[in-house]
Amino acid sequence: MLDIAQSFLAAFPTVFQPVNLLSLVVGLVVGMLVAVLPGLTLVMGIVLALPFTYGMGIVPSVILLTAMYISGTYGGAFTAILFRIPGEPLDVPLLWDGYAMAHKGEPAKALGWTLFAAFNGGILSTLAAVAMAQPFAKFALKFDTPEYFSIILFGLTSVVALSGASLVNGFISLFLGLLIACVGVDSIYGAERFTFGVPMLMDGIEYLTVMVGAYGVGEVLVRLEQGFQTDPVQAAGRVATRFPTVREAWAIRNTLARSSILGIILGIIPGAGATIASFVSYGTEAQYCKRRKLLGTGIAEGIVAPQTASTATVAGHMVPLITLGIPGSGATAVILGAFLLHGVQPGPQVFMKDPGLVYAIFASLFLGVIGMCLMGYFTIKALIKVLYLPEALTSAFVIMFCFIGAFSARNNVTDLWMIVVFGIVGYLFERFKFPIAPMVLGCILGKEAESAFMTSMISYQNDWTIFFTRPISGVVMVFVIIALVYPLLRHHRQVRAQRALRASQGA
Amino acid sequence: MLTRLRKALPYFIVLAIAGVLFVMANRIDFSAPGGRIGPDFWPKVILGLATVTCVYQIVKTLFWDSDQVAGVLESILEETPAETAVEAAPEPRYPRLILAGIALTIAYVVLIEYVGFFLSTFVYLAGFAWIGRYRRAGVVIATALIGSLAFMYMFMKVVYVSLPLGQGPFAQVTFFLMRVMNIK
Repeated sequence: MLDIAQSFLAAFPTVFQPVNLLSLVVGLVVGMLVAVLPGLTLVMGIVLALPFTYGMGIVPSVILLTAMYISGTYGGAFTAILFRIPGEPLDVPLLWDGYAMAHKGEPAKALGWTLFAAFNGGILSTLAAVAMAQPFAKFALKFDTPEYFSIILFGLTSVVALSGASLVNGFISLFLGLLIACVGVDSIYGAERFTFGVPMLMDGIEYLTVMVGAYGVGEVLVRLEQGFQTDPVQAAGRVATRFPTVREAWAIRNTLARSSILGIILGIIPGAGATIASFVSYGTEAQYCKRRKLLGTGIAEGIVAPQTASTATVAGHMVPLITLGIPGSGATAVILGAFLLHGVQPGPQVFMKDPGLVYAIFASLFLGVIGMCLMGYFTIKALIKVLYLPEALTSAFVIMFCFIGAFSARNNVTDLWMIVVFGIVGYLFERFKFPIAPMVLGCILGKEAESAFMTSMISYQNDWTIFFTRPISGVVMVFVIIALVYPLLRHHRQVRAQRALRASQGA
Repeated sequence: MLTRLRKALPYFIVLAIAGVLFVMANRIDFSAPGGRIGPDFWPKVILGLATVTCVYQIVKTLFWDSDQVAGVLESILEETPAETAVEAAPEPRYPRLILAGIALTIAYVVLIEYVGFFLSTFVYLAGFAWIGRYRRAGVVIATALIGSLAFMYMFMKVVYVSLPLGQGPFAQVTFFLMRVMNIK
């Protein structure tokens, strides 16, 4: 553990190098702006920033994107508390107690609790992630291709099984992503697959165009269909932040502990992102908090729980991403994209070969949490001014960033067509309630999943039972089966309960 | 039944696409050493799973119930106390706006090589804001002009992306701007 602490501390000077520090500050500011603007989602913002990292080194690129990610989990709290406008879906639970506290005449205190929660959740989860990452990576070194395949399969199935309003739609989205990854010349036999005679498709479909199209253009089109209608912004009055006293903070230590642990765990599990953590943490407080009957009336626990958990997921997400190369959310999928664009495949090997890179990312997360809190404290008044920008104008610029971002990867106009196609696909997905994240993850991890599967089949003479008979792989496959079966069982139990309730009401 | 058919329509479409792609996967040309699975195996497995999923949902929607099986955490969220839930008002929809937005976006991609980056971007930014129901003409034009010039400068001068120059007289406009902005 001492060597981990030493490596972590030794990485701080790397973050203080001018280009890395600049990336950190820019990432924090942009992430906060993106979170404040209601029409722009956090993932969309990170996707739009990705093309700007082409010319940067791997360290500043990842620092920029992770800084955006972490400050994005905090920025939306301002608008949720002050204006009742959740900048991100993860800020919705803050409407219940945060806005209520502000409405009772204590907006500064509500903002202070948010800052306290984001700081503690961020710092605790970063330290936990630092402690966990190396043992995780060492364990992952024992993996062979069957283990990799089962881990990727678990990552993909859990993304679908844990979240989303429809399991079926999630799987269809995932299958589409896996099929997109099949397009082009396959790496083992050199056979053309689904190229439709289009020369450009021989190289496959860039996952960047899928991400930018579906998240960027798709989301803008959804907002356009709604007429870019945002609730009018009321006057915020005097905007300030007042910290809780030590006594007040000590009184909610259990809430803080519960939501930090929940955030870290839900961060590590693929599929359960900041939004889910925020809601689940609030729900947990509704069951276990001493003052649970007062939840929704503007109490500190209702602010601290969702904010702590959502910020804590960020460092949690970085553990499987860095040690296994498995992104658990849309935002980490984009960060994985940044790694791959720079020719680095995250996984245990990276951890062993270049620990400096890994600890620099964690050090930047640590400093990012401090930076975002300082920024939130001092610049909140200026930040919320972006709410007054007309959404129609900002959206036009978002699409333009999408186009230029995709174009600059290969300087090819065909990529613009891809953006339009996946933009329309993204819009249709949103319209018909198909989740986008499984498609994007399938698209990114599809090639790796296929490669691990095919290599296993070749190495073990087409014996598919190998995925179940090897100890680690077998255990993971059991988790895959649980991830697939449990939601179905749960659904049937709920349906039966509803029918029984209806029957008893009828009687 | 009509409502159920409408609900099942997206799955029929996916099923049809999966069928077509499965036929295409059968035609993948390769030569694998004896006994090894070929490059058609993986896509066929995915298409097979997609087919099974769609058939399950179609049968369920048409003959059983149209309720979707939610993800585990989603269903936990649904069980959170009712008093904490925020009632969301139904969002208005403007189908014409979306059609106009998609048409403008396609037109942009078609025209960018002929008209050049600057002019097409100027028209696109202004047009999109207008379609998005922002009606302050002065602000729209000024923002589109400043935005397209800023994009051109940032990407051609700073990031070195070779954006489309356009053809004929449109290219002359681009060259003129490049001279003014000292872009080489």
